Amino acid sequence: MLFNSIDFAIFLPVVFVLYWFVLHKNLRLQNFLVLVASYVFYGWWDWRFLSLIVFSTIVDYLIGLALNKTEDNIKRKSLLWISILVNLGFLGFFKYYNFFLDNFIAAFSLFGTEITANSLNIILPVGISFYTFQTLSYTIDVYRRKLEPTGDFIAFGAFVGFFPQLVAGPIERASNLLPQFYKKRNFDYAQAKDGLRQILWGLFKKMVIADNCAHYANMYFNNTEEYSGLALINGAILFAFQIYADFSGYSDIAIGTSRLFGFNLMRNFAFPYFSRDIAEFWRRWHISLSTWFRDYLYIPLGGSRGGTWMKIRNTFVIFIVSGFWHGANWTFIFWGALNAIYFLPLLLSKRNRNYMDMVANGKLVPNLKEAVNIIFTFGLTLFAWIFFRAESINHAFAYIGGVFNGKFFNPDQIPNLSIVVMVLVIFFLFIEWVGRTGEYAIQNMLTSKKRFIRWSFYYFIIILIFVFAGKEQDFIYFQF
Amino acid sequence: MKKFLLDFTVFLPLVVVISAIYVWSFSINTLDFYYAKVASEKKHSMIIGNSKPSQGIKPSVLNDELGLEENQQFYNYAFTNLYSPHGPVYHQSIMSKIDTLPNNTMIYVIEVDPRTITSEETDPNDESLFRENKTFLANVSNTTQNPNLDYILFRQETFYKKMFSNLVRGSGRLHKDGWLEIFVNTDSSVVEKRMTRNMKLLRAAKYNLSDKRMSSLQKLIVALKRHGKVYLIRMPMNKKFFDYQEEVFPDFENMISELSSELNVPYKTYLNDNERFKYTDGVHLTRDSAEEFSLDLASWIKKN
Repeated sequence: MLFNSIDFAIFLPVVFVLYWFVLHKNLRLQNFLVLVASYVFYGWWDWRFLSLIVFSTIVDYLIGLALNKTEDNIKRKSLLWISILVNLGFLGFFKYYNFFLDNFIAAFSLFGTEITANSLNIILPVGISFYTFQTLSYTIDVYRRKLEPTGDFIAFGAFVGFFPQLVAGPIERASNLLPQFYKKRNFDYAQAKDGLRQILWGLFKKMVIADNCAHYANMYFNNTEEYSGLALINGAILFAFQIYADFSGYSDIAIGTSRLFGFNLMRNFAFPYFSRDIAEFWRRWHISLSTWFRDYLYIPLGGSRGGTWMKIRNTFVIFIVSGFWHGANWTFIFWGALNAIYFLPLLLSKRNRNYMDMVANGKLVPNLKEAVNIIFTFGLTLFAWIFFRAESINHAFAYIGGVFNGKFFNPDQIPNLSIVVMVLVIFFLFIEWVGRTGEYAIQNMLTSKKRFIRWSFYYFIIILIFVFAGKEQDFIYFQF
Repeated sequence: MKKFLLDFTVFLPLVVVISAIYVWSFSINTLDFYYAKVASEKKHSMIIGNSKPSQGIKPSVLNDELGLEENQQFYNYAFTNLYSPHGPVYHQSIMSKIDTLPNNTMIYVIEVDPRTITSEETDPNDESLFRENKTFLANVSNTTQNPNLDYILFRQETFYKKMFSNLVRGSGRLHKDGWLEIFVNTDSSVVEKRMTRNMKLLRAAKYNLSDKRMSSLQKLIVALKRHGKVYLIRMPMNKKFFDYQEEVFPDFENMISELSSELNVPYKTYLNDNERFKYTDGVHLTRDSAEEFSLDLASWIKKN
């Protein structure tokens, strides 16, 4: 079920009332409610895929317990590998089977050997990339003895399937989220209010910014050869905001919803388009995934220790795998590699930790150097997004080529109403800039002002949603 | 918790008011051109087809000329090529909308056009790929509910787009009888520009004749014949567009003629009678020509 749907608008208050008014005195029952609600939420898409998440949950629960029962390193490693193979096996099959098959066939044809094989019509279970990583973090942390395995299956099931973040993150760590299921949750007024505010902002980002940008971005990307250079640049910019607003909007709604139930999820986005270099961008974009790869892949590979070649290897591995995680297409791999190329000079010259604070902290506007850095970094990510969005590598290069071939400036190709969208994006950026010191843009906005002013601002956002909500698009990260 | 619930209870009413105003705005007939069609009571006689009859046939003219009683009067339930080509979606929508009388005195005018029986997909007979499946018509379970929340929540067209295109530009108005009156510049140079653009779009599209859609049209005629008289018409267009259609669908006229004979329904084609009408873009009739055409149609219905 989508967050911006009537189904969810009914589902959420029902679960809220049951959670806080009926089952609040019994922690176990409360967790059980979260588990059931999560399975209902997930099954709303397709009940058949419930079996996958249930199976994954059972396997990792049992492996967690088994890991605790043995000191034999070989046995422990074997158990860990079972968990990895089961989880990544499901992911690999549902997401990558046809990709590997097609490329296998293509590789053979390069040698003049034609082989035929039937690709399967596989439906990608929503959220599989997210919950498999989430549950893997549990078994890996138990294996590393960073976490005690849980004997509470209900709590564990609720952790794996926790509905606010089940299908598009943030990818939670067991060490952060699981313990929250052991403790009694008391209703916190400030936390719940904050949650509602974050949900509102998430809905604005998704319905107003992302869905509107999507409409025009699709127009330019789906008919590349028909548009002038300026229009194509416009399309790339709109996609950059589509993917940011869509994904961070979902995260905001997920985190806000969790707060309504007394849970604190990790932050997933920290205003990445205000980054001054690529290293800072990757500290601010999809934080839950990048830290997951850092902790479970990059560091075990050696991280940035070791010689130059090891650093280069590890950087490419992490970014390419991260790209591949997004989808079974060479475009994602290329996107990952491109980001590795962006990142490496900073890493090798030890300038990857230059900007650890928020840009223009305490100031109204950035200085010239900061502004140039922000624009330059945005330009780099924009270029890479073209590959992310394109249907194929050829399409991406055709898109880039289209910017420089033929007529660059043809204002007739910029639809009037896309200018409305650009104005909305500028408004959105302004609010994000003003609120950049908070966890989300409107967290601290007008909180020192009278309630009347604050609420007027919230009503204004609601009106903007009604008037400017774009044609409904799926949350973009559902396809990952 | 009490404070939270109190705050929420105080905050909510204005949200409800904003929502109510939003829902009410759909009933403004210059804002939304399709809402009233699926948020009104069942209708009697009907005009069925794409945007050509939607703009080109005035039910009020037919009602007056044919002297129809109130419970027999026409409603224009035509939409566009995107929303209402022949297929299960449109068929179901029509059947859910018609109100019938025991003496079967209804009249149904079905506009036939090659584009309403074609699909752009490589398999034109795969119903799951039909273009209308992703439109509001496929997602509105009830066509007589007012307000129609299915339609409102589906957001086929964004609100601000409608405000700008329809309300601010004043491009059209949906009449109570379903006729869509479009206000556009009909200067010959502007019309010529639109014609060029339309022809380009027409030539760029790949339309494959769909047996499933033809079958759907057939089923619709049979279903409607149970409740009244069915007439098939091929509406006039600028000769260039007819010539193109004849080029890509040379058998269309024969197909429809055979269908009309087989099912014993009158058929009138304007393939060779299109010069006397005026068009806004080569395809859609101007308001004056819609009046003239509707009179012509009424006269033909009277004789048949």
